[in-house]
Amino acid sequence: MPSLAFAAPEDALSPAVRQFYVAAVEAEASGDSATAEGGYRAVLRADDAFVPARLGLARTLVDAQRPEDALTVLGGAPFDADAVQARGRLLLALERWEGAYAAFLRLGRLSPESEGAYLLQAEALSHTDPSEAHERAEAWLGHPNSRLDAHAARVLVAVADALRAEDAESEEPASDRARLLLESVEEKAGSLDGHELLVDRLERYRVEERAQLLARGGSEALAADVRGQLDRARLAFAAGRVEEAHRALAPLVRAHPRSAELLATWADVQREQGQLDEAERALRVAAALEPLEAAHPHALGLLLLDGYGGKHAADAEVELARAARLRPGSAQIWVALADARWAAGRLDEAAAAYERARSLGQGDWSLRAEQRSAARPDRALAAEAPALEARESGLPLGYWVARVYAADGDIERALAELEALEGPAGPEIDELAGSLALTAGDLDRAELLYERALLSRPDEPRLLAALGDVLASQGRDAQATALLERAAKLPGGAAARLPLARRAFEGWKLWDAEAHLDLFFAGETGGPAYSEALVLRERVGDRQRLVWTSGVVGAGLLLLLPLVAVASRRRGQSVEQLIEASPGSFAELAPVLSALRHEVLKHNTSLLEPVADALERGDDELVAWANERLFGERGVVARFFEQCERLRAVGRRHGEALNLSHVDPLFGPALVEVHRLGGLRKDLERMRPGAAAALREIAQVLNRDTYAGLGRLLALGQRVAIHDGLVASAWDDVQAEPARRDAPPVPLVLDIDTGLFVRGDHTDLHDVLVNLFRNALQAGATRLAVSTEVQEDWVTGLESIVIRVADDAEGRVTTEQIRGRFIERGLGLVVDLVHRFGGSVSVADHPGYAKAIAVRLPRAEDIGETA
Amino acid sequence: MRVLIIEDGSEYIETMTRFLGEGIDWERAGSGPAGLERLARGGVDAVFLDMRFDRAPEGELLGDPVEVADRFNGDRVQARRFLEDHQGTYILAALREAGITLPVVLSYDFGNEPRRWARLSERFGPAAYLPDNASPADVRRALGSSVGD
Repeated sequence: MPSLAFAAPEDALSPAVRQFYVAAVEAEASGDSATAEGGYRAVLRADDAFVPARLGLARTLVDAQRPEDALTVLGGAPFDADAVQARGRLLLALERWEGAYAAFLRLGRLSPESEGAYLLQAEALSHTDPSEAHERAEAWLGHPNSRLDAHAARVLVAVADALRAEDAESEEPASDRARLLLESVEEKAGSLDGHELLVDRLERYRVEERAQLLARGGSEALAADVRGQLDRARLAFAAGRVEEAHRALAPLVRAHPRSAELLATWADVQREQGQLDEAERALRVAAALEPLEAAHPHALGLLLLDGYGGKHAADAEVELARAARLRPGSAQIWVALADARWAAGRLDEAAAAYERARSLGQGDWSLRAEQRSAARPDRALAAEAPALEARESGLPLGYWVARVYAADGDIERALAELEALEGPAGPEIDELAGSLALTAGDLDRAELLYERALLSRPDEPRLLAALGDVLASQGRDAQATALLERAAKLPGGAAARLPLARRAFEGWKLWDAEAHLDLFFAGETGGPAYSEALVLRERVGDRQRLVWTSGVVGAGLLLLLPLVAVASRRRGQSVEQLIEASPGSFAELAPVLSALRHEVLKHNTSLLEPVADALERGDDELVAWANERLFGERGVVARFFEQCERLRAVGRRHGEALNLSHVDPLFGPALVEVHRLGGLRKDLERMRPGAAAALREIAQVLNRDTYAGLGRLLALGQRVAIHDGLVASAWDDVQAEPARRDAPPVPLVLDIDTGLFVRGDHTDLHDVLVNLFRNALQAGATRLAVSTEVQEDWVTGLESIVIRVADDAEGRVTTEQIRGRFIERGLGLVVDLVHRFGGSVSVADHPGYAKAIAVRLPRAEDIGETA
Repeated sequence: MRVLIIEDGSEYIETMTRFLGEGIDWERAGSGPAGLERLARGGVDAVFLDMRFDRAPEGELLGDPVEVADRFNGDRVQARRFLEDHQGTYILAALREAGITLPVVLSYDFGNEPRRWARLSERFGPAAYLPDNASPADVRRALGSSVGD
């Protein structure tokens, strides 16, 4: 029952009546209801307007289980705010919501300056009209005297709960007004009473909202034949056959618009083809279909950030922040988020995100900064995720809530949520419970649950592989392998290839391991197991070389090796060959090579020799420190392999297979040494001084040869010579265009220094000149001149080459217009290309001509030059 | 010998104090302004200077971002990146402008840019450079030679 306590102005009573009142109060306090009732009634008979007695009498009647009488008594003072409030509270306690609301409305009129009535009205209305209750709650929140306490928190939570219930029943699109209400209170509440209740409820709302999204937007599972087509499209894309991938995917996407996996691949292809809007749309749909998958907002954020040259950094940040919430342990995502904040000019927040990435032990964050694209195409629309029609999954919300908790790593809550489910468990619930049990280390229970799920879905590769994991953990290897092999042969079972590869590797069945890994990479494009697979592939290659070269296997066995397998070792290209065959690949290779040189080797392999010294003198503290730096999760060994895989991916995108281990003269020896380094981990852990010599040998290769070789590779693709021939070639191309065939000849004067190199790409530079020439001629130029000039920056010592294309056409383009991109397309392309090389475009005066477009590009030194 | 490391991270100070603690007292400053302030107090024999400062707060980067942005068609993002990537030279120039003539060892590989290094060392010397793969022993040698040991 609500409290009706009131401090009485007893002095207003006559002495005799006051005695009755005091006696009644004492009787009420001692639990003597009959005496108390008599006393209060006596007071009221003497003074009907003495409200404390009326309140006391009502309390006594409520205690005596006579609430109707209490209501009558309180109703006798309709103009007293305390009595009206007490009556309203009593009606609330009696669940007579409308009567309570009427009482609190009256209270509001009697005490218009008081904020309390709004809250009480909201409390009453929360049971009958949540929307109206919401308005009253907002009115209370907006009142300057409103203060959060435990009661207010309870009321606000009740209102929010009522809003959610109303929204759940509505056919309108779900709103987030309940969450917003509590969030607005949470901001104000700080550590006040009731704050904890608000926080708990808000967390629950957020979990439920994610669970509802999950339930509503579940991605479509692809049938085996469709998956096969998707896999072929992926392989085509990975091999650089983008058009072929596009043709294969387009009908699939139309036929299966709810497959997040398809859409994510489609987005990759679209992006590669420059269709950024379509890529963005596909990723937004994928994100809606799989709201708990961080890969989609991550990819979307990167697209928004890199695809538009930072113009949509704010939108990118929203997506990347979502990805970071979904996968807070991914340094890669934090780096991308930091980049987005940085591009948006929010440097402190960017620094915090970089720091977060750093704290996760990954050091390649600066590489990402180097990769910020300079291209700035316009974004046609701010694509929104289309509303997905709800799909009936048949699973209770609790299942989805448990998945949300599981995704957040809160196994205990996830299990509690599943245990609270009513009705028989289906295979999905068993599978989830099984994975939770496995995570919690309860192998027997996990086995039971997976087996039960398999009764309903005997051909689900995920279930088979999961059960295989459980059995392997129990040491039942033969059964585990049989299950994994069965899973791997089923459509969508590529993930099972990794544990099979691991087993084959451990059993020195290296060709089997390689075959399993090939199939794994053909079917998987990411996920937590991907990195492990990369490392395993390197280790398999390492052992294969050992088998090949050490003579451990006999000559007879060598002869039996299939010749094709031998030949395959020599197939593929080196990085340098890739650059020669596909110069456009350099822009993608350079950041990876730079990362290898500056992030992987720097601060790491330079320490190998001093670590060897420390090992010999027994400095265990220093060796332990180095051990982590070399072999930790983000140590030099793992990162080297990771970057090598990125190089291979660049090769695939350009239709070339890189063979770093066997063909590349730089990476082959480097990989051998990185493998050797990886093999020294235990020696360092056990402080074996014998490993010092090996460390020094490895240092010779990695820290000197590899480092220098990477520098040479980086220098290789960055230089383009500026000479008359380059300019003449562009000029000839423009002259050969149909529009110029019947035009009068235009003289071109060249004044180009020799021996100049710029950083950039030959084709792009040619395109820059073609566009500048074409623009000038279209503007009516009758004579042109091209000249070069070298300028130097005093502080950095860097030189720029300014290429001036002067013409006599009357034009009104200005440097400001170029900066604001108020320019026609040809010049816009020039700006984009030049921007990509770190240069600039401006308008300058030129003696004898109307103007000149000045293109400034960073100068590259000829390595053969001397100071 | 007391050496001031100017770097935006802590990799060098961590490595140097671990591997080159004997005979050298190391100090760290996290930015150009902080380094200038420390050097103004004296007592430092040489400076070990990182080149790239991509973790330094914007306000602590030396160089005029507006002037640099002019070179990138007004793009402040590229300008900021340029200042970060070449911050070591900005700090070096500021040291000399402030009259600080201590020897400086720059951690940057000028091996592919000999003409640039020739200009910088003539302009802002005494200075030497060490590539990223320099070992602690290389650092000791370079510092020793820079102070005439």
